[in-house]
Amino acid sequence: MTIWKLYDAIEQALALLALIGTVAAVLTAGIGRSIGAPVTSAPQFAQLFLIWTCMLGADLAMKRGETIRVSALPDLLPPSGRRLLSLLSLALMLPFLGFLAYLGWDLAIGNWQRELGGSGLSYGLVTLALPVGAALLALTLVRRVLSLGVDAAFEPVLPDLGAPGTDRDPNPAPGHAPGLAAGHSTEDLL
Amino acid sequence: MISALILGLALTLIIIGMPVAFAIGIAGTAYFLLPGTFLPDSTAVQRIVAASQSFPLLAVPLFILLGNLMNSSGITPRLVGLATVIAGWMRGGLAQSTLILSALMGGVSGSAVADAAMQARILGEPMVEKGYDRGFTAALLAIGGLITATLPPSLGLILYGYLGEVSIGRLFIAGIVPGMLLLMVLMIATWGVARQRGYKPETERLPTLREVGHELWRSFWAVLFPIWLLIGIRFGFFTPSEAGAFAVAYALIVGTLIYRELTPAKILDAMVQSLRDIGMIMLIILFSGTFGYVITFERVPQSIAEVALTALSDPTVLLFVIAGFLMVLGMLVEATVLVMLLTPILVPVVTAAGIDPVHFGLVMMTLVTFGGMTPPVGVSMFTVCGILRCSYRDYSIQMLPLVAAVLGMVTLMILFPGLVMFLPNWLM
Amino acid sequence: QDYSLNLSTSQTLQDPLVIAMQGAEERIEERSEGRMEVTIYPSSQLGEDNDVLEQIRSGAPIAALVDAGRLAPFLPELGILAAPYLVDDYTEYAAITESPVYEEWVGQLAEESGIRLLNYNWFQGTRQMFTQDKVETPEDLGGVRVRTIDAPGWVATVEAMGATPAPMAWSEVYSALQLGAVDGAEAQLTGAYGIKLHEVSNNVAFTNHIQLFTGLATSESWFAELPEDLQAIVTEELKAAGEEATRETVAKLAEVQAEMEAAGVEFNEVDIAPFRDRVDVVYKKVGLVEAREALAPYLPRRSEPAAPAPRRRGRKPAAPGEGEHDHLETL
Ligand code: NA
Ligand code: NA
Repeated sequence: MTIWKLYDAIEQALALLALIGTVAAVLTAGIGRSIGAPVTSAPQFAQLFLIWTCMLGADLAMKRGETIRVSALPDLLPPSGRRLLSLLSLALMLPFLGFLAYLGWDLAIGNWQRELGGSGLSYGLVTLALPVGAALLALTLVRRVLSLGVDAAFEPVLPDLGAPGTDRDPNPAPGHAPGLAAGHSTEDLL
Repeated sequence: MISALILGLALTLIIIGMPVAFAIGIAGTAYFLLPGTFLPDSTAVQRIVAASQSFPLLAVPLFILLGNLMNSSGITPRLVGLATVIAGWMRGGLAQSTLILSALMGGVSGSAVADAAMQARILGEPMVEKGYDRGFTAALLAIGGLITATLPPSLGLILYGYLGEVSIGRLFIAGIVPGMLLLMVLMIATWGVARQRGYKPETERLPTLREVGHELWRSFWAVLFPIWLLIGIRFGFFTPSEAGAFAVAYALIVGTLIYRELTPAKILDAMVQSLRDIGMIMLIILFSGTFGYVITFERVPQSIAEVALTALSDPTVLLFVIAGFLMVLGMLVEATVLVMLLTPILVPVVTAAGIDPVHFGLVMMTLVTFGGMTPPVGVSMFTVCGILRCSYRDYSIQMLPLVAAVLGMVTLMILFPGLVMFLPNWLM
Repeated sequence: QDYSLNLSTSQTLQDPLVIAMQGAEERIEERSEGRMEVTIYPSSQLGEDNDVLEQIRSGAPIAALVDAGRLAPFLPELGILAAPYLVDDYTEYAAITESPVYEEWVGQLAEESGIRLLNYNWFQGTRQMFTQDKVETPEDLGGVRVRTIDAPGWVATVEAMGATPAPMAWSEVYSALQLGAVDGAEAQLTGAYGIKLHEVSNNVAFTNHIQLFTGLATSESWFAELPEDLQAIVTEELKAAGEEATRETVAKLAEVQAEMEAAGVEFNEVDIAPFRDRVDVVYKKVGLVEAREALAPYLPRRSEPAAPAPRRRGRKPAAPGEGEHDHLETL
């Protein structure tokens, strides 16, 4: 279990770095240009950090079952029906993630010589976020199924996956009201 | 034909409860795996990566982070105080001040749900205690979020602009007038309800200049926020896509140095929460890259445009028909999902009909966001009713005057495009 | 039909290049007696150029209109085709693409990257300098932030010319110029007209720094599998379309310039020599010195210093370059 805690902590730390990097790169782009010294590769760094933020963030969300979905139909069904639908979803999602991981890896290696704008970075670093993210998501799904069962695979329960010390305070922030949705467990940010 | 199958597959997967990102991603990828398709499979993967490589799209994570930082930095509670003083003297003063608050929040938050949830927690029970009907309170707080989502910045408009390749700067500026009009029509509707039911003002008299001044002073840095952003964009310190990063820096400075409420622990907390929010919403955007490619490759927008434009040659009629269609779908389907699926299809259609995509964007986003506040499926409704423990039936009945106000407003927007367009045309 | 060919470009539907493609579509379908179906995807509908090239390398039946800068990562020598002040006039490109050196590069590209460059004769215009204040010498560009394409060759060119390069998305140029986030942009007249740069800039200097040509690149494996007669039809018709597109583009130039002048934009000729002298460093920086030497026998003799730049007024702008650009850019 401690191994998993360490794993979760490292993943979260990397995700935080990517987020901070995104903000810093965009700030650098804007400030540099306003003072007449544009940092030409700042936008590329922003986009590199962006995709890593997205993929790692998606996995952090999946770990807690925070995912946008429409649960009206599953919620109407008896537990056996719900389990069946959940199984069906998983049976498609896991191979899909495998497909992304496999071909994404190929793609990242295959276009390593493609440049990310004028930054001198390889576009492969951008592409790599997808296969890595897909592998992490697949792992998370398997962990959730093993610890919560098939029917709760996408439910927004707080799983004991060893989320490292960042649990929200008891009053969830505005916009996040887990578990209120009668017939619906979706969160929507718009 | 094939695209109809793919769309059907996506909807089926969504209905069986698969996370939306995966439903859209799997349906799009299926196209590449069909035996008749001679496109390489790796293209399906490439489109997902490519979806992330848009500089304007950076605004989405930045404004999500901003929203979470605002709540822990002490900016939000100060705006509540200001709104209460400004609108407290009106009939139904407390109700009116929640609408003013939505407008104040509009300058910084892009999310209707976040606005409604925040207000329901802070103002919901106090309103019920003062004698406001529980259902009306819930409906007002939920629908007030529409003002927040229409005024710039708006997450919905960012998404729309990104997917439809429409200028996000122009969309933002175009949102100002509809946002203020929404504020007005909702205040009028609230005034009508308050009069009929005898809801009282909060205070006996108009606020004195001193009181307003005091609250303005207390919330000075918070009120300055949107003004500061607009000035920054107007004078070229940053582009609209970069504004989010500057706003984040501003919230950090105000929260830590001026209000001194933002501790390192709170910042970390806000960032971790933002990461999950970003991942949740961006995964849909990324995975829909493949789906969008299929729609394009099969030339779906062109086919629909041909049919629609042959049948409906008048742009206003076309807009009304599309609006009706969006309203019905919006009642049933999540705003995010609708925007993802329909923007790339509808923007070329309306553009071909001679409708400005900025004008259409405001109409579309108002309707689909509003759909989240109506039964049978609506996240704002679920959120607010959940917090206030109010029945969906009460909510639905009490919301009717507000619904009339919103629909009247949308009709005006369709009939008089100038209402939406004159500001962006004048400024940009 | 037995075969399908999908043409991809970042240009919009109304652009002369796309109109020329439509002509080719008709003639290919007719001459192949329906054995080949052609579909055109304008406005980067299939993705930005680098992404489409990636699809092509995986064997997709697509031909994409790309500038040489996009191909440079696969064969650095090709970057020369988008290098600054390579020739004095766009008509001189024909001599380059008919040279054995070019032929050899095309063969090498196909072999090493799987990309078959079908032609390189789609002229989009000559790249010019859009600014607020009049520009006549490199010194006038001192401290001026000029939007350019985000690729090493372009950034180096703008820097060498005396300005401060500020790469950003093509879709953001208009508002950036209007709001003062940048002070200028380099672009070809037609592309600039498309995004209304004349509304937000006061002056255009005919710096003529890059001739913006593009060519159709397709999948070598797909092309090799076509029957010979279809190969010939595709090659001939697409080349003819490129010539037609060039004629149309050149014809449109004067028209666009007049429209811009009517909108209040001033145009001025500049003495090109001081700019040209400064860009030598670009060739060294991006490693194109040898490629230029290899091409030298086929390049027309330089008219050298003396003559300011009276030649082509109103020739178009444009020049593509390496790497990434923006989505909508016509480049
Ligand atoms: Na807003
Ligand atoms: Na609804």
